[in-house]
Parts: sequence; structure tokens; C-alpha cells
Amino acid sequence: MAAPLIACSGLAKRYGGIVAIKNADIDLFPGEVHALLGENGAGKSTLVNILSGVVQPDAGTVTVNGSQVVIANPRVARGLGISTVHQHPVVFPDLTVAENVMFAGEPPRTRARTLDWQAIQQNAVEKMQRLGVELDPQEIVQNLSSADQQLLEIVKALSDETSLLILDEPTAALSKHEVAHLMGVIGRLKARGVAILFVGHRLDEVFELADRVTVNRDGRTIISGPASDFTPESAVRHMVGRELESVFPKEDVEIGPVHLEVTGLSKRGQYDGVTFEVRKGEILGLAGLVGAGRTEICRGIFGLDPADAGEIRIGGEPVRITNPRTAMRHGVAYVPEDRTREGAILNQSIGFNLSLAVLRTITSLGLVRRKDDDALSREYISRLQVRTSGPTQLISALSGGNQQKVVIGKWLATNPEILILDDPTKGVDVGAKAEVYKIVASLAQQGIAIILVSNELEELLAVSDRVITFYRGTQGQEFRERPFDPETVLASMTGQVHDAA
Amino acid sequence: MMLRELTKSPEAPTWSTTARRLIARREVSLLAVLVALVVVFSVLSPRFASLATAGQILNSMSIVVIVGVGLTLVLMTRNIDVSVGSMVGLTAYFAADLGAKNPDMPLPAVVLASCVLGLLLGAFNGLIVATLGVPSIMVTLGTLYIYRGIDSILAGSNQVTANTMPEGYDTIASWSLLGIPGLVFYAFAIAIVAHCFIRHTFAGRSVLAIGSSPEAAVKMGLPARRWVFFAFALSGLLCGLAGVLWGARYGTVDSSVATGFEITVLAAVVVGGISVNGGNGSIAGLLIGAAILSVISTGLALLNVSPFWLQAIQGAVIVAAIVSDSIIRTRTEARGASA
Repeated sequence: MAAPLIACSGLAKRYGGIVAIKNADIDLFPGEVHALLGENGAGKSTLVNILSGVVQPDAGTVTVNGSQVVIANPRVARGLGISTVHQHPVVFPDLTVAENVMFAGEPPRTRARTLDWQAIQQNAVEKMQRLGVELDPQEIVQNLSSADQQLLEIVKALSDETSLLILDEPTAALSKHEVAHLMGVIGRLKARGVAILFVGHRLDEVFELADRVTVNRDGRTIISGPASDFTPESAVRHMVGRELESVFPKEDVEIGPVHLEVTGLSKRGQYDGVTFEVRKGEILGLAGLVGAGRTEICRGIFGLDPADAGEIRIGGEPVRITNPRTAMRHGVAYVPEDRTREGAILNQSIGFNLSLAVLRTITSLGLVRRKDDDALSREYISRLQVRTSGPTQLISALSGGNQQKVVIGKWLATNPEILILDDPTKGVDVGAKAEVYKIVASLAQQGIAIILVSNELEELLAVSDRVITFYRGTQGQEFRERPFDPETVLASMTGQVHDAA
Repeated sequence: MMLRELTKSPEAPTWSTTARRLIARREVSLLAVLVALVVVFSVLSPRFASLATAGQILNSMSIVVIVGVGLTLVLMTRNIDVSVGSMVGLTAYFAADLGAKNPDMPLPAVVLASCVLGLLLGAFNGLIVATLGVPSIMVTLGTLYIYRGIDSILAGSNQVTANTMPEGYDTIASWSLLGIPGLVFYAFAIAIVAHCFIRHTFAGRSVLAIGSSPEAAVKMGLPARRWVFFAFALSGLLCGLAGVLWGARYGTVDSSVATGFEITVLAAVVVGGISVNGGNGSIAGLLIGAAILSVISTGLALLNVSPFWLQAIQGAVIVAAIVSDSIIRTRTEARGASA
């Protein structure tokens, strides 16, 4: 075997009192795809940040071609041939696509040392063409969809000098088609002898690609070896450190009477003629592609963007929901899709977030009763098993899964009868997903009617009692018989059987 | 498996997208507001539509533009400098006093000295903000008082008047060419240089980039601190120049010069569409913003609005200008989106 291009050993990094990585090792070989696996909080991103020069390790060494290096900043990293596609696109939203590409390298200048806009534009177009990406180089980046921003991030990373390409969960926002394209690009780079570090937790992709696998847990490298030594099951076992009997258990729940009925719900340009009902204790899954109108329907029922037409009945009574306050009065709760922007108030404490929806009930004379506030927080922290040092901890310090538990807890405090969950496990690792769904199942047992939206079809089918598909704002088929067949549901949500149905 | 509808491949930019982009630009709708104001004042006051008034409007916006250029750069980095009024005040007294006490000193040396003092004051702001990471609003609120305090200590109750200023001091500001006041030349020259810097140099784009996303700037390895420091230092330097011009123009300098001037400049910058969240805006916007404010105050003066009412009306017109600008913009954006 050839010598590694880049070898890291004994890397350690703490942020304040929190240990991000303790003892991480990884060897990266030219022409090899190396998958780095681990749950959120395993220290994957810290390792990526060290290699890309964003942070400095407290201990350990990095060698490139056998000689030890200090990657003092991202420019040094790029000089060493290390390009990084960060998990969240590192873009300048106010600048154009071409300018963002320019910032990833040395800008072409005219003789007067001013920027050569023509060359900048052309560079961007050429780089995009190489990847088969078609974006308008003059478009302002904040007008791009998040998938296009992710593509831009990949375009930026690639240059002729790249010897190590780090991909930190690059496929999260991409379509299947785009993922396939990216896989093709990775294949070509590999053939050119580029080392690739692929960080992810979508195991199907990882095993399709990887030559070598390293698993990190709690900041330590647990195991590393050729991909053929691993199976998806064994990888998950190493990641979570225990056997997962079933990640998404389906509990037997007695399904009660119809509680929510939606008839002919329509909103111009978003969805049309949506009709369904949800029973007490039932989990109704809404399946569809991103952009199929599921989030919009949820927002319509919760009164965030009320529908133009149609009827909503709760407990048999027609109700008019014009804003979230009326929705809450009718026992509706909504856990939004975007946890960090709409779900949680990140720079506030867990307690603050938990009591937000029920402040009125714990207020006397306009002042919050501290004791009740505290009791409420502690109750939900223990009921939902939020891993935290206490209610005063900032919610931003929690992992994604624990943040989501707090957001769900906030709505449980309102004693909802209808709970709408919009992609509740987005960006949450496997272990935490299981916990979130365990909570959801226990809520169904208590007789809450649940509407679940998820982009992870596997999960949606595993936990739902009934599934309805949506395609471009119109309702597709309804599936009543568990177990659901992923192929047929997928066909329906991509509109393939729409005309036949 | 993550599922998502296939992204539509973008069509090549057509004329209409280019036009939409142009119309959506803040400057275009602001210009419409400016033109509307000029028309309204011309109808209300026959004396408004004249070359003399135009000269006056340009003259009175010049110092605002000079200081505004520095503030624009600071805002672009997602910072703010509220000490500009105090820096103008301190350098104005320093320069006038220096000239008065050293009548033999060549005027360019006085100007240079004032600029250097301004640079130092601005650099102090920049140093604290960039190295200690203290929010710039706090730092510059502090230096607003510090610099004004130093001004008061230096000046006491003293006043430098046109009589004691050195020979020709007023000509620094009062010269004119082809009927256009010298102040206007300074302002436009600085605005053009700043525009070219922001539009056409890597450094200028970096200033916008770090304000657009400080996190991305760190991950891309841009020297964010350096450019924040630079913006504050430049803001100080331009205040130093504005200080000399202030003394030359008004002929009387005491410790209260340019008190509250930061609000005027900030108003011009903000009306000009330069975002306080950084990463956005243009020198053209600043010029239009300053012109809008200058047109409003000159126009109201010509209408003989009672001084008791002047400020309130001025504020109301500013609010009306900003509201109509945003209405124009949302309309055109909506039309662009549905087209």
C-alpha cells in the first residue's frame, strides 16, 4: 500500500469545557474515498475544520506527504491542496455566484490590479460546466435555493490543485439526480488520484462510494478499515455503540374517533382540494417531494398561512383558523420544519423555550411565576429525556436531537389534541431519531392525532398508520395497509401513477 | 433517502431578468423618489428649480457624502461608527487652531495633519473592534464621548473665527470651478474612488463579503479583522478631512462643531439603502440618500416652513421617502416574480 497523502494522529480539540475530539486518527490515501462516520457530536465536523484550517487542534499532528504541517488558516489549507465542501454552504449571500467562486481561489486581476470581471465570470462558468452545474453566474446567491447553494459550494471547492477533497455531508440538500451527478464527479476525481474524505450519515450512499471507513464516536476514532470489512448494520453498531433492535418501533395504539377533518383545503399556487381526516391516536404520514406542498398545508392548518378555501373541522365542529393563536385554542400544535429558525429561540435557555407557548398559564399580574416556570421545564426535560445540565442551559448548546425534543416539549405543554410534526428528524442522528419517534408513539398512545411530514420516506413509512401522497400541490393516493411498499408510495409521490389513479 | 423535485435548470439570463435585476436594485427606486421630491418642490416653490438651488443642494450634501463614504464602508463590514460627529468636531477644532497658531504653516500641511489625526482616531476605534471583538456600537458610543470630551478640553470656551484663521483657510472649501463649488469636487472625487474600490478591487469585495457573512469569511480564510480595522481607520481619515472642510466652510469653530452630525450621516446612509446588516449597499445609494436629505432640507427652507415645524416635517418627509421606496421595490419585485 502506498503511503498516506495525509495522516492525522492523536488529534484533540476542546471548545471551552466541551471536548469535541479526544483522540482522532485518520489516514487519507490518494485515489481513495474514505468515509468518516459518526453520530452528530462524534466530532466529525471538528476534524473537518482542523483539516481545512478553520480551527487549530490542541494536540496531535497532521502530516502531508510525510512532513508535519500546521494548517494555520483556510488559505494555507487550500495551498496544501485541501478543498472543503462544508456541511452548511459557506457562501456570501449578498454577492453573486461568480464572486463566490472567485473568493475560493486567487482572483484574476487586470494589469491595473483591479478585478478582471470577465475572467471571473468565465472562471465560474467553466468550473460549473466541469461539474455540469447550470447557475447564472450573475445571480445573487441569496436568491438561490439551498440545493443550488450546496452545488455552488461544491463548485467552489474544486480546483486543479485539489489533492484532498473533503465533503462534509454534501448530499443533505441535493436531489437524487444531483446526488448521482456528484457521485460521478467523485468517481472522476478518484480516478485522477484525488483523496476524498466523505463525511456523512446516509449509509446507502457511503457504502456505494467508500473504499475505506472510519467510525468516530464521542470524539474518538473507534475503528478504521477497508469498506469491505463493514456492513451498514455493523457501521451503525459502531456509531451508536449499541445494537439498535429497531430504530423506528411501531407501537400498537388503539385508534379512536375522527378528530380533524380537512375538506377541499386550497391555497392558490400552493395546494388544491386537500381532503383528509386524522383520528385520535393515529399517525397520518404526508409523503411527497420537497415542494409538494406538505409544509404549506401544515402551515395552513396551523393558521400561519391560512388557506383560501376549504373547511377544517375539529371534533366534528367546523372551525375557522386564521392565525396560530386560534389554532392553539383549538388544540393544534405545530413543530415547524426549520428547527433553528422557527422552532427554537437559539440564544435563549431551554426553560425559556419550553415555557414559551404557555407563558399565559404561568403568569400572574404580567409576571412569570419563576417556580412554575422551573417546574414546567423540569417536567418536560425529564419526560422527554432531554440531555442537558438543566433548564438554564442555552438551547444552542444541545445536539440537534435534544433541541428538537425541547421544541416538541414546548408544544406538549399546550396539551395539544392535534400535533403536526414537519420533518422532526431533519439533521438528527440515528439514535436521537429513535428517541424522537418513541416520544411520538407515546403521544399517539395518549390519543393525540398526529400529522407527520418527513423527507425520509423510510421513517415515514415505518411510523405512520396511514400515508397520503402529495405531488405538486395535489393530493395523490392514500395508503391504508401497513406495511407500506416504498416503491408504490414513491411512484405515487413522484407523480408517476398520478394519471392512472 | 432524501427526495426533492429535480431543480429546474435555469434558463439563460434574458433581457427581462436583466431588467428585473436592474429595477430591483435599490438605487433605481430611490432615484425615482428623489426625482419625485424635486418635482414636488419645484411645483411648490418657484425658486426651487434653479441652478443656484442645485448648487446649494450639492454643496450642503458634500460633507455628508465625505463622512458617509467612510460610514458606508464600516456598515458594509456589519459594523457601525457613531463617533463620526465627534471626530469631525475634534479635527475641525484641531485644524483651525493649528492654522491659527501657526500662520506660516502651509495649508496642505494643516489638511494633512487633520487627516492624520482623524486616521488615528478611527484606527483606535478599529483596533478595539477588530482585536477585542467588542460590538462596534458600544466602542464608538464610548469614543463619541471621549473624542467630544477631548475637543472640549482642547477648545474650552475658545472659538476660532474667520479672523484668526490663517489667510486663505476658507478657500479650501470655497473655491469653485465652472460654478461648481470645490466641496462638491472633493465629495465626488472621494465617492468615485470609493465606488471603484468597492466595485473593482478584491479588497473592496472582501469588505462586502465579510459583512455579508462573517462566518463564511472565517471559513474562506479572508482577513476579516484587517478589513474591519481598515474601514474604521478610513472612516476616521475622512472625518479628518471633513473637519478641515467644516472649518473652512463655516468660518467659526468651537467645541460644539458637528454635534449630532452622526445622525445626519447615518440618515443619508440608511436612506441610501446601505444595510445595517452589512454586505450590501453602494456608493451610488449613499449619493442618492444624501441628495434626498439635502433636497428635503433645502426645499423646506425655501418654502419658509416655520422653524418650529421644520424638524418634524423633515422627519415626516424622510419616513415618507423610505416608505414609498419600499412600496416601489416590493411592487416591482412582485411583478418581476410573476412575470
